[in-house]
Amino acid sequence: MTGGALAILRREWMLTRHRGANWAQPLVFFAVVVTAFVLGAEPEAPWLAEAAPAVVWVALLLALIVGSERAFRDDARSGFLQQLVRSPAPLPLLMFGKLVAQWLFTALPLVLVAPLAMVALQMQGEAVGALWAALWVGSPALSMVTGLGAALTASLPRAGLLLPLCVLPLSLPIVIFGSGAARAAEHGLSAAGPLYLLASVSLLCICGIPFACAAAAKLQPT
Amino acid sequence: MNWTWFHKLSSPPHFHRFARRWTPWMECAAAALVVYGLIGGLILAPPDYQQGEVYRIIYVHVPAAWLSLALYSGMAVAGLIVLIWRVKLAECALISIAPVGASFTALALATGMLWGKPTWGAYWVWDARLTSELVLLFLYLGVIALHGAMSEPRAAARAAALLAVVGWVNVPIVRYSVDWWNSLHQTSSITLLGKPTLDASMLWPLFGMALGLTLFSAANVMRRMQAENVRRNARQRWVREQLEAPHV
Repeated sequence: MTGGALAILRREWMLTRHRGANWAQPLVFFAVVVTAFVLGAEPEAPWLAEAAPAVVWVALLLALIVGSERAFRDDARSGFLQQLVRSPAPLPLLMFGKLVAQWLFTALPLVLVAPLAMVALQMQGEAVGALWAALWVGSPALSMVTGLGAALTASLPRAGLLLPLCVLPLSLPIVIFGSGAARAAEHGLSAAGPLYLLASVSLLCICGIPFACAAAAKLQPT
Repeated sequence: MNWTWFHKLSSPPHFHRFARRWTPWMECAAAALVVYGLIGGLILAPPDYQQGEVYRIIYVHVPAAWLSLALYSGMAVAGLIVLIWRVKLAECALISIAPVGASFTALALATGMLWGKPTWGAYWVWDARLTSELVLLFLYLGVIALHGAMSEPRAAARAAALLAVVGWVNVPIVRYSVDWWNSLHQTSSITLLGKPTLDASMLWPLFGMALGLTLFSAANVMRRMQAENVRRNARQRWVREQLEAPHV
């Protein structure tokens, strides 16, 4: 039964490799957003480290939204999504495969380079660890929610501002608790509470959003 | 009990006749209740011993905040019905509730800000209750925008339904934010169980306003649903017959 999902994963991996350097676009975008924030604020400002968790989360969120726009659009246009809807394999499982691929190829590189941004924003040891842990457990939820937004807007000629408008309100709790973990660690408190909460939100998204994505995929005109 | 009348409501012609007959009555009742609530709350009720006259804004603020949550829940229920049973009238209900709910959310935020300036000393604080109510407004706007962007009405309604149902997670967050976090916003004075901490002379006008505005929004949603229902069935014969019939 999981064969279909694995086949989708392999397909996405091959597509990512064929697109060449396109996989690096979210990374560059992430770096530019962080840099723009630092340049807009005064460099070396003492409050930079305090604002850093929010900056990293918002940059990640924007990069994921921009990166996810194409995830379902190309498939909807080429007819691949319609084929998935008609296939005998369970659609939520196939959607889960697509969402996992999106996390692996868009969110994971961002999470891996995020500590560089945290150090550049002058965050200290404990807080860096807490924020990185929060990114690991929170990014699946963020990736799933942006994936749902991309699936909802896939049939439109252009998603434009609609995708962030749908996705941002849903992802704000993740940003709040994700930055909360780093702030707690910075003040010498235990970051476990927000981290557990983020992990539970991620689990909820992993269990529920593939079904919502399947319902969104069926909206395609056939 | 015979439920036939209820099932009949999901048929567009029946709903049209039902709404046409009952909406004016609901509007009359709403107007009477709101007039009672405003007179009772703004003139007859005594000033608060702590807040003075400024507390009177609750007669608009509290019903608007209740309705912002209740209408979102109603929209999510309509969304579930759209997604599971694909009832066409539920699609009309979903997209008719969204603008009304968004307006009440904006009204709750605006009146809250007007009250916050003299009481807290600031129009806006980044507090759990205020922030989650703002997120609720964004959710409403997202549902409206997603529905507006799609040209095919049934697909648009289903997409908006999905977003509304997923976004419902925010409703308990708004409702219980003042209990879960140390919020500047005061906790509820009126609870389902237990004695309200509000005097009867202040309480009854508040209930009057709440019921009046609920009836008003129900009537407004019905009118919007009626219009949407007619627009979608414009080519059906019953629409022509209904519109040409003398008005009751």
